[in-house]
Amino acid sequence: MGNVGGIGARERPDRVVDKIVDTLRGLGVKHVLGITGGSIMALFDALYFTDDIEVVMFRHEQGAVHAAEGYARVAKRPAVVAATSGPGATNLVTGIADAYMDSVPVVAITGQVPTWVFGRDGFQETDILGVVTPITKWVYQVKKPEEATAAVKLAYEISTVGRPGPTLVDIPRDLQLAKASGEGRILVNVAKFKPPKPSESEIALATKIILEAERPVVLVGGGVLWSGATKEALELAERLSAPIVSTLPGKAAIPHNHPLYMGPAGMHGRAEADAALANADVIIAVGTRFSDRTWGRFKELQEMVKSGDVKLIHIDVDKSEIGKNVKPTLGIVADAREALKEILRLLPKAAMRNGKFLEWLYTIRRRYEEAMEKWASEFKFFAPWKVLKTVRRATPPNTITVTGVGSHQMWAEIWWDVYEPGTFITSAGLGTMGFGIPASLGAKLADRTRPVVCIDGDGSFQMTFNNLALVREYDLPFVEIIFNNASLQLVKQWQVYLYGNRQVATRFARNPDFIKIAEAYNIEGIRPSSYEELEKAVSWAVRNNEPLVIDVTIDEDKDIVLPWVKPGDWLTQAILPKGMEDVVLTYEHN
Amino acid sequence: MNTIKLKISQSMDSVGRVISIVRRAKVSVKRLELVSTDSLYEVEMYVEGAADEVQWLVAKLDKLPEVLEIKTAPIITATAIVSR
Repeated sequence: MGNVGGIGARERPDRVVDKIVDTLRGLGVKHVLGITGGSIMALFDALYFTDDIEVVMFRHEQGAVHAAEGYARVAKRPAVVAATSGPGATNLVTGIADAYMDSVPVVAITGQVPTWVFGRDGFQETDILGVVTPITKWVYQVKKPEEATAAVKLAYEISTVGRPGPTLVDIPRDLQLAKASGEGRILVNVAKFKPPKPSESEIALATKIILEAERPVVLVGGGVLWSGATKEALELAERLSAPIVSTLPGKAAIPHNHPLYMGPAGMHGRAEADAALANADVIIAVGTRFSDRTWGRFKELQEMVKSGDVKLIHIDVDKSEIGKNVKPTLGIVADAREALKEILRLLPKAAMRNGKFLEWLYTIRRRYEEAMEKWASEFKFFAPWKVLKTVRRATPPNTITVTGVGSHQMWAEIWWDVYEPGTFITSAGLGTMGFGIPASLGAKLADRTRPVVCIDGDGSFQMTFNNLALVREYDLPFVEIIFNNASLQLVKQWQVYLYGNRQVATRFARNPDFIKIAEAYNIEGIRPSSYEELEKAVSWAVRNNEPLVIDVTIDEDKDIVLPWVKPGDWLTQAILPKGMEDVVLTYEHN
Repeated sequence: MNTIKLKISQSMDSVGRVISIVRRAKVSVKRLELVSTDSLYEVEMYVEGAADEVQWLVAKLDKLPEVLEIKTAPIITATAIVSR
């Protein structure tokens, strides 16, 4: 290790890591999330000399990187996470993959063993670059001291330009400690990520297709949120009186009290949203990658587009997404907001109205909600969707809601009402259990003025609850609601219906006492016995900005998430709850 | 058969990133050449596969910041010429 000063030295050295910290400050970075260790402690040491950047120490690197995801989504700018070589770096991998799937700008800085040990299986040596190569937008290993700051700047810029995504810079320990000497140049092509201006001819064609539609539907993906195109998406739908359907990430882009919003479609989407998508004659898909979770399968859609029965307009900032899963009638590579603005410029103010189609969708919604209300009365304990309704009542509209992964997440997809864009954060693409608690911490860190509620499952909770230590340590209160069905319930649902009810390794025979766990972290915990008690507890925590763990007992035998489009099925084949046997999701418009 | 020509930054890390995408493509790689120039690697690959899959590969490769330039063209084979 370099000679950087003895015990108590206070003078700021001039090392590569010090220049990296200057670079981070210059980029406006306020927090570095992570865990120190032998190969990254030089960077943490450099952070000692600045008051502008707070180091937030997690209990596991996976927690730090999920927190970075929550942070970035709330702050709408890249979040920085730092970890040591070997296990520190590999513990980041799940979160990096998660950020890649959900297009979240996270910049990871990992320490690496010194260059003289490279390839010699040194202590805590892992080829992290090789590991994360397929799951990063960009990754770079610094080979010369002068590359370090250039690499960090590029990692930050690339993470956010065009479609966001995670980046990683790996820096060997000896280079971190080397004397800083200028800034080298790293050869990359960043310009190609800048979205092109939408072409006039494509916009004109899109408008023509839209004007000829009888049942247009606007499909909103996560790209609408990143682009800040909520207003334009709503305006488009309003001019057409078109139903708005979203993907799971796109759910965060649309206020759910808008009358044209039908909800998310897909495996566990709203029945009216599935019906809208499956029966549209023109789909304007914006900022979405056509996930199999949204569509069930692509065959029907592709055939309908090919035959001309459905006209599909796909707008995306990432040109590799156009035609990747479904070949559109018209693909437009552009920023969502820019493209929508251009379409709106050509579209008449009140273009059309198909009240009949909308009425049909509202009828499906009404029937679904009535069926669920009846079903709730059969639950011995809490019904998951009623818990969500209760919590929603107790929380202000600007509450940031984070979820874990599992049945509770799917219930939240169907039932949680988002009122302000960007206030719903979930692990959609990778479906990472354990995402909820650390992402909640990150969200709160990014904006301490807003309440944060984590809708979690007992399975998800047990994967990352060690990070609850940060609640008191960094004053990051949030409300953790555990939907406790003593199971990996969503997998169990598949076992019941797709694997002949052979339930293997999905029931927790002995769960720990979650209230005692909360108490161990000096957080109050309750196990409510009624919806009123639940509402009161949430209101108290939000009003007082206090952390709270709520253990909600869910009736595991009845906790079957419906609607459900089974894997590989088409949207109209959604399984609906009891009482909707006469409802078909095919529109009889002739 | 298609040819895909890339100019990438001169680093085996960049080559690894390219390969990580090629290995996931549903195409058959018939030939792969890498030539070092002053500051770049020039990669030329001949791939066989459905047009959609070749397009997928090209689009994914073009997402890499390390890929400075990408060109693609169908190769007209002797058989194809005869069949015309």
